[in-house]
Amino acid sequence: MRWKLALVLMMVAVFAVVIAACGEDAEEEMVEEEPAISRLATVQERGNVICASRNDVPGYGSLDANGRNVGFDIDLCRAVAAAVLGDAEAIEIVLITAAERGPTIQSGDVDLLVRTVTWTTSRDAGWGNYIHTTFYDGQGFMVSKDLGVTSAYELGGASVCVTSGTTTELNMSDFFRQNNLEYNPIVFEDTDVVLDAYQEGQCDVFTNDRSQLAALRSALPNPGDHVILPETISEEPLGPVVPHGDEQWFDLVKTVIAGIIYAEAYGVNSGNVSAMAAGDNVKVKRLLGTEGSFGQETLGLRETFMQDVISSVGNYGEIYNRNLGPEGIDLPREGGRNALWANAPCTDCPKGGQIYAPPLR
Amino acid sequence: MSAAVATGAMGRPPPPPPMTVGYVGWLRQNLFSSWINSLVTVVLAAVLAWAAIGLISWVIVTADWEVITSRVQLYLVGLYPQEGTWRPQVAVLLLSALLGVSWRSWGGTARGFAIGLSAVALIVGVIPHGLQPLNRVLVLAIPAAVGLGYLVSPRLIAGRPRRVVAAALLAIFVGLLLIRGIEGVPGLDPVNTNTIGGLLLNLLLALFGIGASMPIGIGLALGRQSNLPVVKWACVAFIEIIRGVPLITLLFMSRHILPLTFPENIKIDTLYITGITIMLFSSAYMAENVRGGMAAVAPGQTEAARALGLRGWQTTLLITLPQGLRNIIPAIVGQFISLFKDTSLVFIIGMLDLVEMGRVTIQSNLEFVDNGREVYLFIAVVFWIFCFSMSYVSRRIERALGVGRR
Amino acid sequence: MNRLLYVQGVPFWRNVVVLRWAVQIVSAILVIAVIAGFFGNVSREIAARDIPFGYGFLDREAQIPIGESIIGYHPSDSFAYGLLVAALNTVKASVLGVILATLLGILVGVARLSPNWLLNRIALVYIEVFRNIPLLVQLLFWFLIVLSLPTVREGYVAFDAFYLSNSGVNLPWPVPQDGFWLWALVTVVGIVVAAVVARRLLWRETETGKPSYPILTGLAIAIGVSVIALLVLGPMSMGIPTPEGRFGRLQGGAELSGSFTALLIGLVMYTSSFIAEIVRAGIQSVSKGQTEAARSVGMSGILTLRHVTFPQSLRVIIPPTISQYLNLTKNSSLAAAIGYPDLVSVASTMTQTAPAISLILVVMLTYLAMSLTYSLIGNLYNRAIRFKGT
Repeated sequence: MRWKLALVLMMVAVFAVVIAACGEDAEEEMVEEEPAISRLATVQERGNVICASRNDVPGYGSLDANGRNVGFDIDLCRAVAAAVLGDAEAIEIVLITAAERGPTIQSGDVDLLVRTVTWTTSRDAGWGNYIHTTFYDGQGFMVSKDLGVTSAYELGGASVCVTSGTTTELNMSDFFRQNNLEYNPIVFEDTDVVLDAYQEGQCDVFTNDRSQLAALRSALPNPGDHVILPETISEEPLGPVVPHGDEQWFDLVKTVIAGIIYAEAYGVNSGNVSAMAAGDNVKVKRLLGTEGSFGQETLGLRETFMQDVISSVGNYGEIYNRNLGPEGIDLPREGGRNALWANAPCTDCPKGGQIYAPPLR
Repeated sequence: MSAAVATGAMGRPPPPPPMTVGYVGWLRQNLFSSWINSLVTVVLAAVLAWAAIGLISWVIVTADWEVITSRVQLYLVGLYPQEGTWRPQVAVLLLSALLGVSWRSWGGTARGFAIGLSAVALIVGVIPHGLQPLNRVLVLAIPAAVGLGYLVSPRLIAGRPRRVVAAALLAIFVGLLLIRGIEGVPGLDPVNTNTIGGLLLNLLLALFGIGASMPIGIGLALGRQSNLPVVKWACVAFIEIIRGVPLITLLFMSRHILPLTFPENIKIDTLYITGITIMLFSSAYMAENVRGGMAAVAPGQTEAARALGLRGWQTTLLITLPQGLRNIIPAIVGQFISLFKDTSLVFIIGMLDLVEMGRVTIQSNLEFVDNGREVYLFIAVVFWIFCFSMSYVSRRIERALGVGRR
Repeated sequence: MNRLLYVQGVPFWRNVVVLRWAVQIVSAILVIAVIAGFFGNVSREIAARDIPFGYGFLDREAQIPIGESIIGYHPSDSFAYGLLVAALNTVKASVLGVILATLLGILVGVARLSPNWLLNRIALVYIEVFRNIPLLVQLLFWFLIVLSLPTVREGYVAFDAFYLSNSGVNLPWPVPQDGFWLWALVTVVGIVVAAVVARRLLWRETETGKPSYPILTGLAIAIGVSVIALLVLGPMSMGIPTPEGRFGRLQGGAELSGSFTALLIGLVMYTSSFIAEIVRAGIQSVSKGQTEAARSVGMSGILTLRHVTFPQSLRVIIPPTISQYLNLTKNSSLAAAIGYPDLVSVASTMTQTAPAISLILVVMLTYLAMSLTYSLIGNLYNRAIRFKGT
């Protein structure tokens, strides 16, 4: 019988050790959580800005022939890197699928999410903080011309191709439900397969954001054989997102985006930035940090950070032209919503749109 | 077909009459032995010829291979920095030299591979397609490395074949160091692991997965046979859960769950997360292989060990396990092949392996939007070459070990 | 002297019973501590980082599109129902794939042993090609092949009822009417009666040696009852696919969509190449004496294969084949790439409006349940043939 007693004693001892170990663990972690390290400090120490993005959509985020990440979204990431670290190349692109966008930004493992993310209220509440709309899009439909369809309301009975994991899918579902139209959705993971299915006529309709439809249409063998229907069935304001919980970082990214838009509105571009910094326009000089301030110090940035951003990445117009405009996938900006606001001060720039920045002062 | 089977089951016919030997005899015996056999032969030959002509004309005439030739580097090493591409190439040279050593020592299969590799390297090295001079020299150095290995082989081995295993492990280790980089050594700066991609990524992940899963798999297999119920059931549960769910769900989970088990300011690279996941995934399968191999060890072995007075754990560690491991070498190669193919699933967490690199190339360049067929054919051929040669080697090993023949 | 530590003169650290218990307990504590530590850490972090998690979403309206369903689906249905629809789609691909892959695998495996050199080599090439290329690439390839068929408006039609196009295969299919359940009941009763009769006849045959044709009689009874009931009750009408509307999409009947067809072809070709190798190895594992004995009692080649070689090789074939079935089921999770709404594809769409981690957990559990079911069936079968053998 004695060995049973020994056994009990041993069990008690082992439990005590385990519990003690667990307790220690918990205490240690409590201490660790105390000092909140600001994301800016983390980024500066790490030496690069980590952006979650994509590389499969020409214009927004793609790989060039040398394996370099390029695109509108990537350039926004570069702009932040140039502002914080003075080096537009100090970025790391984490590739994520559409379904991963929520968990990725929620976990705070990335500094910035720039992956053609539509700003919706529930995402703003649940995922992270939306910075600013940097591109206005809307969902549309593309059909083959010989079907003779002229309106989205005639699409009853059609087979519709769509890529998965995006608001596109939900908007499509809403549209057909709202209008009591029967349809057959075919959901694909990747754009290349969708495009194949559409080209070969497995589906009659291809739905996506209008900008991407336009770009893809231009890549088809006979662009003239396809029409993009006039209806826009959704609002798709796209913009970068930062994780919840660090206001300084939120404001900082907001200021960088405002800065590149402001720079275009005041005619500052990568070619003339040093001349403008020495010029006589007070607003421009304030932007470039050569006179006065607009809050750089509070944000933890250098006085002249905008000079680095503009000289290495360019202003909003340059980023647009390089990726989405004539040098990229050739989406017209003039007269669309992605032009600058109607009475922007610049003379030779597209106006009448909704791209607007708060005053920098 | 039924007739074909019938004759097969009948066994070999009696000694050949004169008409059944030689070229004609071979044809008669193997292709036209009965009217139904002849019919099968003719129909199959016609279908085969039609398919082959279609494929060849497409490959030569219709297909546009620019989507491949313009970015070979992306397919091979992903976004690995251009100025560092000599590093994986040197790793390849080390392995080529090892191949040369095997050629001299064992001939046979190794000779075939060595000659094939050298020939491919010569062709690739000579055809001009925008290779950097340094890379071209390193490609052309492959036959030289094979030859060097062949020459030093007798001296290296010197009657102790184990040295080859040591040399192989050393070469792999040095290769990995080169690819990853060493802190503080000029010219060997550590690369950002997220830039490793393409075929290199598939190979690294599969190699790491199979290597690292070996000890864990053995542990799990032993645990599964343990007489401690808790250990046994924990191992069974782990093995069955991992084997029961698709790898893509495991990858998704670990990308989002694993970081949670580390403190918030420690960021683990996606490559490591992927490696850990693939290792765990592979170890469940490895455990089952090891268990099968140990079960195949003749019971007489255990009995003999017991009779000699070995304890239970000694029997397992010294008798059953080593013999069991020898039994499963072909199974491990088979698992390596399937793991290699499975590494094409890492796209789900944003890694640019060979397959994903192909898809990204099509999608992110409007001019390649219609070149999907070329890309997929290329990828299929690359995977096929690797998997087929490994399964060929595995069959040779199987024959050499005489597994299933004792 | 501390006698507490001694039992019958043996110190406790050498007492086998104590040692065994101690090891058991320590291992149990370790295992539990590791598991608890992991889950505790993860759940604490999920809470701390505000990562959405939970299952409240399951009875909300799903609002997502699902293209195919065998039990009907509307976006106003709940998330739980949407997941069920998707899981059934996976089951459909898995079950059909398993059946077809088995048949094709046996065929190729036997062809691999054919004395016709060409057939033999083609079987070899088939095996070596399809098992050495990643399934994802193969699926994309088959999808492109299906896409190269003509569109639904220009597709192949037979008897105005059978359609083949790049949107898939459409066939006439019975639609249940009022009397369906009654008919099903009558059929089941018929099958039970037939089984009883067949058993009885089989018993008579083995006891008396009189030829009694138990299987034929049983089949005749079962089919006869079912057909008569079908004619009397009229429980089903035939749904015939007909093109409708501007887009000429087919309504009615059964549809195997283009994506599903490509998925099925890909899964079947890939898996059958593994099964073929298993079958070949299995047949070769049967000792040659068996074949020779069968031949010497006058059995023909096909009879030998059917009654002697194949049944014996099953014991070698079944266990690895079951694990191929598991692989096929898991591999069907690649369906999203070619547009088939399987479980993974639908769950990834749902992550738009529901917590991703919770969803993937549901997906994993579902696959686990399916895998365990296959394992269970395999084990039962294994046990059954083992008993017969001894």
